[in-house]
Formats: sequence, C-alpha cells, structure tokens
Amino acid sequence: MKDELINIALPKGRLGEKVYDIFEKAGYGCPSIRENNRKLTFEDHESGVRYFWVKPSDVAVYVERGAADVGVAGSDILAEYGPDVYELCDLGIGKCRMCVAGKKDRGDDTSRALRVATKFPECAKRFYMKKGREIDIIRLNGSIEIAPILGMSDVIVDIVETGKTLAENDLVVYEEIFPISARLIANKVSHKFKNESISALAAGVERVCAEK
Amino acid sequence: MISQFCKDTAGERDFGALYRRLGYKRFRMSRFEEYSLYAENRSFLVSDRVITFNEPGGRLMALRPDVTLSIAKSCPDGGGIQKLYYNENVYRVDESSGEFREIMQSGLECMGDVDVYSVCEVLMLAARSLDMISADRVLDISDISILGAVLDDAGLRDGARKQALGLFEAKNAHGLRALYASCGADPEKAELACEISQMYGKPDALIPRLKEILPAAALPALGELEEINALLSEMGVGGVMLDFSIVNDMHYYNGLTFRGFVSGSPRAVLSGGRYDNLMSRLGKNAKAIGFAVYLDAIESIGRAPEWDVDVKLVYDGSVTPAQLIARVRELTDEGKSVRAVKGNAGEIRARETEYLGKGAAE
Repeated sequence: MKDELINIALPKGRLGEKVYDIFEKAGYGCPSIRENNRKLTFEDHESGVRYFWVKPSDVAVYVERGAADVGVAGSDILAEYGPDVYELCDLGIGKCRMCVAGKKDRGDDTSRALRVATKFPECAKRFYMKKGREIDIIRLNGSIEIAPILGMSDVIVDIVETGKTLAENDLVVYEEIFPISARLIANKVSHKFKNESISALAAGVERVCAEK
Repeated sequence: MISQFCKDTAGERDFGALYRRLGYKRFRMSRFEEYSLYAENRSFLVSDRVITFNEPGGRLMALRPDVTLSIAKSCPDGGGIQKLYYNENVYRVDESSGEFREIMQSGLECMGDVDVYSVCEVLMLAARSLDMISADRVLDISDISILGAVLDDAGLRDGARKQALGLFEAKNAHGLRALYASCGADPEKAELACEISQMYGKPDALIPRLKEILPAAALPALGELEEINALLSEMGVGGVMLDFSIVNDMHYYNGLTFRGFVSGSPRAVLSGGRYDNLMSRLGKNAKAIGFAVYLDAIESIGRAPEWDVDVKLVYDGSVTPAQLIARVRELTDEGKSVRAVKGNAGEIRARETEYLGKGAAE
C-alpha cells in the first residue's frame, strides 16, 4: 500500500489504451480502469497510481499545471506548445510524422506568401522560418486535407500516419518536418517531491518499451 | 504546511526583514525604463514582449518587465559590494493566456566584489525565503559552466549547443542521444551527457561520481560547488539538491544557477544565479549574483481559507455605537477577526455568528 499516489494523465483513445498496457506491464496496473463505467479517475493503492483520461492535446497542460504528476503526450503536442515539463522517455508507440503535404500537381509560386493550413501553427512557423519563406497561416481544427483541395491553401502541415487519406485525395507528402512518437512527461515540481516513485515508474516504463 | 505569509501579506514586510538582517538595502526604482535596455538584452528576459509607449519627449519607454537589468545598470563601478533587495511589480506576458499581467516580485542582488561567502549568503537567503513560503521545499543548484565544459568536450557548438541545453532542461536523455548522434559526437560522451541529465540528489551523494566522469575542464566548477555545499551545511541550510536541468542563458549567466520549489506550486517559485556575463555586457567591472521570488506563483498554493472572518457580529437598531465598539474591541482583543453587519445583511462565511440587540436574531 502506497500513501502518496502518482497522478497519471492518459490520452483518451487507442493510443491511451496502448499506453495503459505498458504501465500495467511495468507494475502500475489499476484493474478498475478496464471497467465499463462513467468514472473519471481510477485509483489503485497497491500500485500507488491514480489514472485519468484526458483529451490527448490536454495531457501536457495537466502535467505542466501539476494536476497530473506524469502523463503521456505526442511529441507533436510537445513541439507545438513547448510545455515546461521533463521528457523522461520515448515510448516508441503512436509513431507518425509531421509533414508538409499538398496536391500532386502543385507548382510552387515563390513570388507570394505560401498559404499553409494547419492545426500546428508554431511547428509550421518554425519550419518555414528556417527556410526564410514567408507564409500565411490558416489555422484549422480538423479535416486539414480539404484546404488544398478547395484551393484555400497551397500546402498543409499535418500529422501523417499511413498516408492513406492523402493518397485517396490525390495529395502527396512534400517534406517530413520531424518524426512523432508518444513521450512520458513529468511535472518538474512533482519530479522533485515524488522523485523516487516517478523515477521508478519511468525506469519501469522504459524497460517494458525496450523489451517490445 | 503553507505559511500564513502567502495568504496575508504582499511579501515585502517579511522578505524585506529577512534581507535587511544581513545588510541588504531596499532599492526603489521607476516603473519605466528606456526600451533600448530591453531590446539590447532581449534574451535575458523571461518573455521578449514588452509594453512600450512614447514619453512626451519622444523617447520610447517600456513598462519594466524585469528588475535585475534596472538594478545591474545602476551598479557603480569600482571596489566594494552592493547588497540590494526589492519588492516591485513587473509587467510580463502570461504564457498560457498570452495576455500581459502585473506581477509582484521580491528578490535581491549582490553586485561587486562577490566572493564565496557572498554566494553562500545569497543561497542561504534564498533557502530562508523558501522556508517562509513552505516547510516542504527544495533549493536546486547547478553550475552552467559544468554543462558548458561537457558540451565543449563533445564538440557541440552553436545551434547544437543551444539544443542540448534545452534537452538538459527537459531531462530528455533520448533527445540528447539523438542530438549527439546527429552531430557525429562520440557515443560514450552522449552516454555521459545522458547520465548527467538524469542526476538528481544531494550534492554530497552526487559529487564523488561527478569527479569520476566529468571532463577535466569541468572540475574547477565542481570544486566550487563542493565548497559552496560544505559552507551551506555549516550555515545550517538543508534541502539543497544538485540538478543539471536548472539551465539559464549562458550569454548572461555563468557559474552557479539555482531554483526554488515548494510542494503545491506546479512551477519554480524562486530563480537565481551568477550573472557576471550580464554585468560585463552592461560594461560593468563587477561580479553579480541574485534571485527573484515569484509572488504570483505563491498565490495559488494551499487551500482557500474556510472562513472569511472568525465572528460575524449581527446587530440591530437598538444597539448603540458605543456598545458595538465595546463588543468589537472585546472580540478583536481575543485575537478574533470580526465583521459587524446590521440586520444580518451581506454574504460572508463566518466561523461563528453572534447577535447583538433585541431584534437582530430575527
């Protein structure tokens, strides 16, 4: 029985379920999380953990603000929001790529600003700033692929997993910006005050990931 | 347990008294500075967004986003030492909302002929400042020049060096490994960097291992850390930990750097370090060390009080002012807080309610 629980924010969805499997194998199981109910938090005092599911893009906020001691977030979210957290381990799952994509037959008109549709404006800005290219950011929240098809943007900056959606819409990847995977992150203050337990958890998670 | 300090005071009285005991003088400064001071030292600032305006004469001015620059530029050249403390508002952009906020900041600066005693005194005052906030606290120390030597040893320069410092700051060992590989650096040196990035513990426990693994160029700085650690023990300062994720901009800071954390606040509540490099950029022939306590980070610590007052004193028209004054005085003399309200009006959470007069209870 552990007195002080580690609060863990898991990303909702398929990725979160894979992440929980890793935590369980590392010795941080919490059987109640698999029950089909409407509970929001799940505790296991034997393992010393309290889990909660949050929107994947919010995991870093919960961790940075200390509501969660640790969490698992995609490196795309970390690159976009730059939260002030520790990044303890690469889980090597949820792998995909941040890419620039657009229509197959697009010619690049360099005489004007490039119109970029994206959910990741900071990533896009940094990428094109390095290239010295002026861009016009079009912030969207979903269905990014439709923007170049309708002529609203020249390119998109988005996550590409298999490339199937792009291919079915006659879009192609022009460039890869960076590879993405799920990362174990920790609140900096929690890491100090719960150092032993968080370090043990990170080591356990890393061991399970290495065995895969 | 969270000290009552953060609930009841703005911090000046308490911190000021602490700093004055060791001869620090209060430094008052103008809210405004010429914008050029911040434009020339942009990366010293927490955020590069500054509120600017033109004064009647046409000069571009700024609402002060930082205190240290203002104090450092006023440091006289020549021998001796300046020990100053402040309690001032700064104007910064809040990272999460993107809006400007007025933030109260306390802190101190020690400038001039800074020696090892002065360094330890500043660290001791940082630790005591944290003690005033919470008993559950740690003061993390590091030395930026040790990381500098480690990166030099691996041949990491310019952009890669900046990236590596960011990875140390995030304790990101897998990122360090990848960066070293992409720079063609020795994999053994990458493993050394990873080990250092993950270290966290009491200096006594970590220094022996560091002596074995650090490159020779880092050993003088490690020796200084060891001496500081021994002197802090002599001063009775505990709760000091070594952590190489405490990173500051090397253009301004050099040597010792430190942060203070208290349980219950999700971020550092105190930050400081040696900034001899800033002094030299400002054309000053002086060394310097100082720290700031972020009072906005303290505000959110602890639970909201259960009661607004101890006693809600409800009176009616039959009570004379003299009777009311006498009862309020009796209660306050007992050490209780009192709010007198006529006819039970107003919302207030009181530990107890007392009725005075004939009809007040109804």
